[in-house]
Amino acid sequence: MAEEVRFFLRTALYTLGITVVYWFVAYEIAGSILLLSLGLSAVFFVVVGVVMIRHAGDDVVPEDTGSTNVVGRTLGFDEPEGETVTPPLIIEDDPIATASIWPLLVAVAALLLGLGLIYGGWMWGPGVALASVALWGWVTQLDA
Amino acid sequence: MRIRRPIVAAGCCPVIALASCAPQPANSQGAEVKTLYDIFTIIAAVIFVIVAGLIAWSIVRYRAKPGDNELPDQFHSNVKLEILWFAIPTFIVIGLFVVSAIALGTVNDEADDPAAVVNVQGFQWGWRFDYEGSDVSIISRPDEPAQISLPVGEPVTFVITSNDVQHSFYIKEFLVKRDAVPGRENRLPVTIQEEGTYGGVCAEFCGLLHYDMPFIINAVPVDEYETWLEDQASEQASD
Amino acid sequence: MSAVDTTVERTSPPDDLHEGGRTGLLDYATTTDHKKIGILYIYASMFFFFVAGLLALFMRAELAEPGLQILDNQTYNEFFTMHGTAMMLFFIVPLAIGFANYFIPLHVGAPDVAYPRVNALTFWLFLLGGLTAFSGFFTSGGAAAFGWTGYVPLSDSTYSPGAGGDLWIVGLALTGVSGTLGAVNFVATIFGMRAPGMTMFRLPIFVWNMLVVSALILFTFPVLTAALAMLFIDRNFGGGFFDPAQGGDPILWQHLFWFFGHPEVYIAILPFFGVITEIIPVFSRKPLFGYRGFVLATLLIGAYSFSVWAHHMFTTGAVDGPFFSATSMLIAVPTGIKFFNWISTMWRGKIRFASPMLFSMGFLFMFLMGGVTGVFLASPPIDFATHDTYYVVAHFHYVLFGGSVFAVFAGLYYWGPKIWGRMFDERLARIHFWLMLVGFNLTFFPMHQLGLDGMPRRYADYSAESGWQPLNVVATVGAFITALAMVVFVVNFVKMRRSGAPAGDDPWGGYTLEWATSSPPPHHNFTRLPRIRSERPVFDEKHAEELEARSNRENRKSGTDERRNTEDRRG
Repeated sequence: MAEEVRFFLRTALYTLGITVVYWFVAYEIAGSILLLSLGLSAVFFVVVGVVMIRHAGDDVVPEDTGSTNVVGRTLGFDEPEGETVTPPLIIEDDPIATASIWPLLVAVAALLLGLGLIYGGWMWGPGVALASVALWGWVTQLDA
Repeated sequence: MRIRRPIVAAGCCPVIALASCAPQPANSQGAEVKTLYDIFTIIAAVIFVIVAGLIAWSIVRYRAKPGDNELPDQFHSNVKLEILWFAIPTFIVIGLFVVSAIALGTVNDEADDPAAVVNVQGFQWGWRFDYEGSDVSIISRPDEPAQISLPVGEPVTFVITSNDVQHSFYIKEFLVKRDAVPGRENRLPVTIQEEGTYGGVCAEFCGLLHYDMPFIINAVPVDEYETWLEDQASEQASD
Repeated sequence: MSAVDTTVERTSPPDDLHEGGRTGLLDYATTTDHKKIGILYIYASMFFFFVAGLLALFMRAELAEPGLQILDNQTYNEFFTMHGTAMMLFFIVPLAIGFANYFIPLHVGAPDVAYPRVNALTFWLFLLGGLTAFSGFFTSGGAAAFGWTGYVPLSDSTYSPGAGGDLWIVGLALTGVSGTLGAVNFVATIFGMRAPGMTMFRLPIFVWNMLVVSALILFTFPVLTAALAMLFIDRNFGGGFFDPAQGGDPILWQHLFWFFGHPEVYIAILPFFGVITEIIPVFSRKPLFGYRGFVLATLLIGAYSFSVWAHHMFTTGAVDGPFFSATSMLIAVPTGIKFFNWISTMWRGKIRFASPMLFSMGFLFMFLMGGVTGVFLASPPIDFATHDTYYVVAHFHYVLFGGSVFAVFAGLYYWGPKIWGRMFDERLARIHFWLMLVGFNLTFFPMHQLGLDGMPRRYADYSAESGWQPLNVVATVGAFITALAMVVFVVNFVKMRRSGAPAGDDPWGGYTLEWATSSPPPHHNFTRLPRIRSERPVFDEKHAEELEARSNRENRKSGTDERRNTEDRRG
């Protein structure tokens, strides 16, 4: 089982276990629901993880399986037994090389939306407008 | 190197000093708490001395000598030791928990027939005390803290709530406090053992005059208390 | 102290031309480089640290004498509210995220984080969130004044009307979303972008700690956001979640807040356990003792932290004392494991007391003290006496300041040379350390006694008859000594930037991958990676021959000895 899945599975099992213990010790509803929803969120991660990793196929990351024959998932290359290979660390058409103004603008939009809750439409309106523009720009930023 | 030892010594003294620094309790529940606190302090002091001592020893003993570039022994695990220092603290902690849980039961134990049941209401920024079954009501006024009397040697129950925001009913000599929460009644059993005058304060932040909400408890012999209660009742009836 | 010159390869500092030739302000406004974002986080967090520290100085000055001389009570209440809020949410966690941002990709051998633009977004959300919360000071009603814990009914619109409280809520919500997105990023990076050979059990402990911290953030920050939304509705839209008159319950707020709030304090300390765990082995010239024990302890602390929250609520009478007492005391065990493993790492080592190690030693003693008083507070009867008094203030400052802040400086002195390519002045660093150690202890040690003497928290003033003044004076003196220590640090920092000695790739003889590249690293972090066969790839490469010879000697001596270094991890 992939490392991610194991990590969240342990979290889910512990939390759901504690939920049961807590409920029968304290009969306190708020804490029990909080613990339960935490456990269910972890279960959600497990399910998503299992489904997505099944789809990932042969792309794996280094695991503690005792073998050194590992393959880098994002950088996609092989490491032969007993040797190491310097991966192509600077990738020419690397999408992450480009900077982006959209994060700053999305943040400002979020601020305006939040302030709009307090100060009303004259902040909320520009917030919605900026959020639309910024999210569109983010999603369509071609080189990122 | 030599300056490290005074640091360890200085570090140990405070922990030991703390043992004698909790106030002497004036009630039976407080005495339970004080005993518990003393047990915890002794164990804490031992642990602190051992661990701090080990750290200090490492600092002093294993300091690199200038010019020594050879690598020390590169050990990185000892399973037996690691199990030991997982198991021993677990047992200590379980012991502390058990002792604590027993004390909690005693501290929260409410008598079936207390000598007095006092309804306490916190408000911004004072207290109101109503003696159940007596029509006696004492309220803080600005610049005049509420002053009540209680019998020594008899169990008393406070029933605590709030009119507005959260407050907390705290008397330091009783080594206890209980929150005053609107919409909720908290029962606090107290059996005062020592005669005296005790000052109480608010211990849950409640706004501008949180620091200025004192109240006073006069713990007196039972007959004095009953006299006081009768006097209060007749005074207030005639108001 | 010596900077061991173990340069693997000197590479020149990065040029900014990869980012389309942008420089200066525009560069930082549009950067998606985790290193620049990390630096932004560090600067912004330190800014909030100094602001919150200034608020504390005012409070300490006020408390030196009975009577309200410097601040009125409303202002005092705003100050301690914003001091706590800023320290917890705009300083310690963002600074940890700054270190994480800078070093997680380097530690796993990746060129950046999984989602670089989201990374940038988290920084701007945090900065704007923090500024929003503080903007309350500029409103007519003042900043939020109900304590960083925001207990209802005090924090609802009846008792705290005005925009300050709402700005606090919005600011915290923005910061909360920032943290959650950042956690997603770190989890994805740690699981998905490790270099060849970098298995989970070869990750630096700092990365493990950040993994657990990210899980804590993922599961508990949304709870805070939900609670804030409910409070906002109560304040502004006539909601009654927390209003008994409408069928609500003030205790519900406490459950929600502390369900977030307790993991929050572990979020505030775990990254710094990680920092200390990076420093101690390097400066003891030994491998970390009990690597797997550390991982287990971190996982246990993370898991337990979800089940202890109501130890903050013992005095409400609304929670099960024994359950939370048991879980809270249990959490001391994995923390103890870490202590013994740190000591064992130093044991029979050859320790150099350069500035990172000095601050790490301060951390060890101070956190030990704070951890011990925490066990006291985990006992409900003892908590009944000490809750909401200065005893608690002493406890959490010992773990948060004596712990996290000492570790912050350990990390800045350790990693500063990597980030800015220059060395700090060691003498100034020592002065900083001793001033801070003395000042911190003068301020917070007496508070244990003050709490036992019955002085409650959040008191703007106290009477002369209380007898609390002498210890308050001592505490105030300590605060100003600490402030002086901070001035020394700032001087040292400026000196480092202007004229510090060039650091080279590896000034300390480090073990982990960040020391395999230049200081600062080039845009995509590495031009080459060493072979990764243990948790000390850089060390292994540098000392390959010597380690080989040693393990051969050991194997000849006794065939069934404990696993040694690279031997056991080879294929």
